Amino acid sequence: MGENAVRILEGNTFVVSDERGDLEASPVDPTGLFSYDTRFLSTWVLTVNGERLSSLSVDDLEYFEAQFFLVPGTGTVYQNADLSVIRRRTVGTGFVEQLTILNHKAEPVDLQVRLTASSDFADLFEVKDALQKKGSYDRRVADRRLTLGYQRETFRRETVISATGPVSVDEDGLTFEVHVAAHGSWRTEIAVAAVLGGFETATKPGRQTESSARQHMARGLDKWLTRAPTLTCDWEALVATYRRSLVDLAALRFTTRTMPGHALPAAGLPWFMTMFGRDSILTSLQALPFVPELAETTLRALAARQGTRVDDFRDEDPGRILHEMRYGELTAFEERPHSPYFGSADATPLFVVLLDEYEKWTGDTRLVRDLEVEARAALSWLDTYADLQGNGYVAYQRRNEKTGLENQCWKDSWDSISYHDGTLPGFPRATCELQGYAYDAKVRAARLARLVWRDESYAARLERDAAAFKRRFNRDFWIEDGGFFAVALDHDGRPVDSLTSNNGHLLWSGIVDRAKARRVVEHLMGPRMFTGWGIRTMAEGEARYNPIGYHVGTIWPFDNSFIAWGLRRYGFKVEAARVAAGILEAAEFFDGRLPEAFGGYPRELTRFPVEYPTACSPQAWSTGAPLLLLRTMLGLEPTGEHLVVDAALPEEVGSLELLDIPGRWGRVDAFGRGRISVSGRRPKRPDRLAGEKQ
Amino acid sequence: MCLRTLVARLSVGDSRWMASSAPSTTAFDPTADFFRSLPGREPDPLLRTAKGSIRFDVVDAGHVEHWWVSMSGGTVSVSRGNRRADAKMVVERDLMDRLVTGRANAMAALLRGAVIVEGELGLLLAFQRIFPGPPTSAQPGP
Repeated sequence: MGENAVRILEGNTFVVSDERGDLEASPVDPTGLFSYDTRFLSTWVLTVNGERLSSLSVDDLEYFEAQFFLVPGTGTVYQNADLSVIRRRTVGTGFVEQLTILNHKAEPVDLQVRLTASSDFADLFEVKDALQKKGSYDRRVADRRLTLGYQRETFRRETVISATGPVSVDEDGLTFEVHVAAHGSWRTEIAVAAVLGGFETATKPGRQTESSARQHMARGLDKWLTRAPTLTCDWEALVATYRRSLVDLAALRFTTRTMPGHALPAAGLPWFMTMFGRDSILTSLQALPFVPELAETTLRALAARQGTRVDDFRDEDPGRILHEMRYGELTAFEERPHSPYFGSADATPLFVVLLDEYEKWTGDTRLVRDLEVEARAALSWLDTYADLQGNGYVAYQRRNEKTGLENQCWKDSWDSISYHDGTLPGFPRATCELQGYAYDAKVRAARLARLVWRDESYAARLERDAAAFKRRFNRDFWIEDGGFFAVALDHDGRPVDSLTSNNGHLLWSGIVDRAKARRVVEHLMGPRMFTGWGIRTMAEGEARYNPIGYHVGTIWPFDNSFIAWGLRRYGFKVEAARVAAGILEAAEFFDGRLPEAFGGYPRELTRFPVEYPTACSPQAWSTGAPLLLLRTMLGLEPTGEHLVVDAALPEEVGSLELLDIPGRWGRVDAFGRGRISVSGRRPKRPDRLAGEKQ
Repeated sequence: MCLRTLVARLSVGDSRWMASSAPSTTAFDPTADFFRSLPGREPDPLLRTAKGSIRFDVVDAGHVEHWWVSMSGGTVSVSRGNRRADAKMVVERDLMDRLVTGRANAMAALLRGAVIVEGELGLLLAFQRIFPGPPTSAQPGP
């Protein structure tokens, strides 16, 4: 896949092509038409009279469609091309391509237009890891339709290609014998359908047309944008970032087959267009003030798939919320455990956190009632299956040692959790933010138990447990000499003493003693962690610190958005505004689309944020970060039946209005004016902290 | 005969395949044991929100055994016979035996095309929650 890859998507179907619209996949790159984690087209090449075409321009009309303007020939100089070729492609369940040829000459032309097609039916995991196929391929021509098939035992996947108008179909593609009048044009429409045997997508081959697909999508997107609150402010780039976030979030919507018409956020393109417990929950939390319906679908979909049994292969326990769902061949044959896989320790408490936050915003007690059993099962999981160290803390250790995940927290790379000296702790590991989430889950569940479940004794017990848990946590994880919380307790229950951004998540969860908060904030906003753009995942000075190390020094926008929320929770408004300003300024450099992570270099050194080399963009929780930062800066907090606004905005925002914020109050507006001087510089001294109020 | 062909025949009402259930006289019949155990159970909270019926067409050497299951408020009633249902699952006998004893996973089987589901997939998603885990998995935690 080159630099100029063009990506369009809808749900978990996406197409990655070159700038001509052609697909020529190598075994290891994510080029092609993908649906349900399977590549349905790996070759799709257009020729006119046997000649490849050249791209004049590409128009990414919307996230679900692109238009390619082409001319015949592959030379570097186009001299008075006599023909123009326009491919307009719309993704649905498969894709539809409208092919138009314009003849610019004063005499008619006869052309042979050909599309060559083939598919390797690779599982997305195979593309990632370059694995070999075990089944067999077949091709069939019938009813002017080409069917590419793949069969392994009962597993069947098909790509069905058909076209409107006269076409001759062979096993390798479609050929059109075309006569175009002088200054005339010719047009056809080609449908490519992805068919899952025994698990069909709703659309049958040939039913979808390009225009109907496009109208359907466009209506959906318009409705989505219209229903979201309107942002106006003096900082134009922020408005652009906001719009980009809403559109990308629309693109990342994923619909499960059991809840048609309802969407939840998938994690990211191209590798993660599926349901993830952690990513779907955190993105739904970020987006709650803007598009609350994502949270409802996320909660219902995850609840329906909550763990119910002990299954080592899937790292499943009763009450556990899933980590990742996949639909491809390797999952089907249990060569991968994602049917679904449960190896995440944070999704379960975060599920309860989201349920409560959702009710606070929407007043939808019905959902809280519907999910009572699942919420209680999740809370019970925290005290039982997750207590792997026998000390009451939430810990993880995979039971699937072959294909399971080692680190089951958001920092899931192999070296993310280390001691100050760089050595790695054994398992089970109890990372600190998991304790924060667990504490928060209990506090919030107590509220729901009183309000909706009407179980006072359960509420009281949860509160007692939470208070005791908080006391112990502040004793056991606190590193007094350093003035911060250990990133984890190791297999022996001893603190893992590196300084990491996980401290910020603890503020968000409210588990930090007020007396300790100031010292934690001094670290987060100090030179070892805050670069001017944001807060690093790991502090400079730790043995494994590396400004371009995935979880050991880069800056993650999503991480920073939750830390900013935490800063506000403890009354550090100025610091929260400073973090928000840094991340939102960085977004400008990425045209409003924040990457998964960027380099942890000091801002003065690089002057611009250095993107971490990763193939995943847009990524859901990066997309959600500007939304949560807006909420944080405006100090939006649902309180009873009202929305409290307590803005603390950086100067550069100027005046800001967020209109029609949806919630239990109907729609309300929030206003603010930027008064906090941040100017992109890191604070010189920690004594500039604004201090805790609230 | 592949399941797909069988489904086609079932849906056009091929009498040969609509034949009444094969008499099950074998002592080892996990599928029958599982279904027969359902009505006697306490209402299962895992099934409390599922409302509707599923018909399992269990295929064994040319015979089809029908198990008709109705879920409401966590209570499950079971009957035999070829009744209309909100969802239908066609499955080979051997696989069904493995599903109800935790030796196979329903979601993976569905993705593999080893079972064929028609109608409301959500009902099946709910129902499969009461299948046990693999007997080989250790029992950690409590």
